[in-house]
Amino acid sequence: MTSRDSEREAMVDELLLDADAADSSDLRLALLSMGSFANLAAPTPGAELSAMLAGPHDEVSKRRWRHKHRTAVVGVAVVAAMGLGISGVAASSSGFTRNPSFINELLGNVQPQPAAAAPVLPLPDAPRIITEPAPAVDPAAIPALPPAGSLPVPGSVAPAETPAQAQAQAQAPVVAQAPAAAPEQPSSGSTPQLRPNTSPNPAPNLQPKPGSGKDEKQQAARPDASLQGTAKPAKTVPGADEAKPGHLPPGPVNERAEEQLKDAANKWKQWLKRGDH
Amino acid sequence: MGSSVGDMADVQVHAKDLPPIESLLPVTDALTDEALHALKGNNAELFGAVYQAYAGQVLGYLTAKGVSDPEAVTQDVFLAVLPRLDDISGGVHGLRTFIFSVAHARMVDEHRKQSRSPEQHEFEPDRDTREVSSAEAEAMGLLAPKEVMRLLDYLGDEQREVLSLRIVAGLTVEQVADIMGKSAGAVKQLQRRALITLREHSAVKEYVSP
Repeated sequence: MTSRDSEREAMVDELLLDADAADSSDLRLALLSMGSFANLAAPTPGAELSAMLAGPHDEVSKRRWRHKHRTAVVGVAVVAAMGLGISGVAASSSGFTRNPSFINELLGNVQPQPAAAAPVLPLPDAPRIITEPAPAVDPAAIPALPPAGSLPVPGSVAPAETPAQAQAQAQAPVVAQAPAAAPEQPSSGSTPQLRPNTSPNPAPNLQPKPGSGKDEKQQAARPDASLQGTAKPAKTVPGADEAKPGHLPPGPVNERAEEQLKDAANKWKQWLKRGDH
Repeated sequence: MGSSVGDMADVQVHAKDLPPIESLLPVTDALTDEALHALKGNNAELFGAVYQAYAGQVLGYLTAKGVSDPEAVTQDVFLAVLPRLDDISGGVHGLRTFIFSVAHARMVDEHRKQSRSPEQHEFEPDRDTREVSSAEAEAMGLLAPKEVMRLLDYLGDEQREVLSLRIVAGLTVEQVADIMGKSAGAVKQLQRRALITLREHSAVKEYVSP
């Protein structure tokens, strides 16, 4: 007799006690016989039940997996949606702001541009032959500028060069004569000595330019009135203006233009600030 | 020293003669709460264990209730129960209550079908190969299944239901009350009247084997 049978006997005895029939052995035997139905063997499972007993049904397992991980899936979706929203708001709000720093960046970028963009600007309609001296001017002019003691000088070169090169386009043959004539004025005819001293480069185009650069420094340091005489021939010769001595007169002129540009920028800043407030 | 060694050997021999440990445990089902908890998540083994533990009892309950095709209904019961095992709470007792509540509902459905077409399937105990009595049953003088079925026919439907759920399914009065949608007092009253009917019926003695 198994434990299950003994428990069933105990249950039958309890039932008989409740019904005041504990003394009926026949009834007890009949109830125990009824309880023996529970000892039937499990029926052989059919096809559908066999498939279920072999393993969980795919749909059931999927549904169960979704149910277990529902919170995680929803959480990821919410976080992704919030991230998209935040990035969208940030992208849309940072485009056009009235922040003064943004304007300062715009204005600050204006000033350094001419120095870098100077060789690029004159290109539009000029023939290739004339553009050769233009890039040669920059290496000579840039070392000459720091002694002048101001950043505006390189900036002023660009606006001065554009008209000078425009003239050079019209008077191309004069350009070849100008380098030879310009050095003679300050060096008093000692051009062969200046060339090896100023620049060891044997290139014909570059030799007169460093010399002229030194002259520019000296002339820039002198009072403008004393240099007017020497500057006049440079102005009269448009080719010389474009090559190297031409940078002398534009110096003070460009400084003025630089000051005007600064003043205009400051006024614009003040006007914008007033407008903001 | 020698006697102590001999005693140890006797103990080992007696231990070998003892029946398996499982049979000594006072458990109603082969499936315990611990086993049920350990099998959670491994549906293949859980389904098999639940089916092996309760399928025979469900079949006996449906047989006692006179269902025409108890085996088919038993399989329907487990097709409905097994996918919902994760939703069941209360351990083994909750599982047992749930299984027999489903079996009770299916039995009611089958009885309604039989009432519409009562002659489709007659329970024929003579053809039931499962009624073979065990040596223990014969030694105890238990009634044959055919005799038990005739005896139960004297009971009303609810009285028969209460006795089937109490004795075959092994449920408590409260569990039976939950399944039948009645109060515990009403269940106790039904089982008392059922026992009085069986005792007072003169036919009871006729089916008891000498």
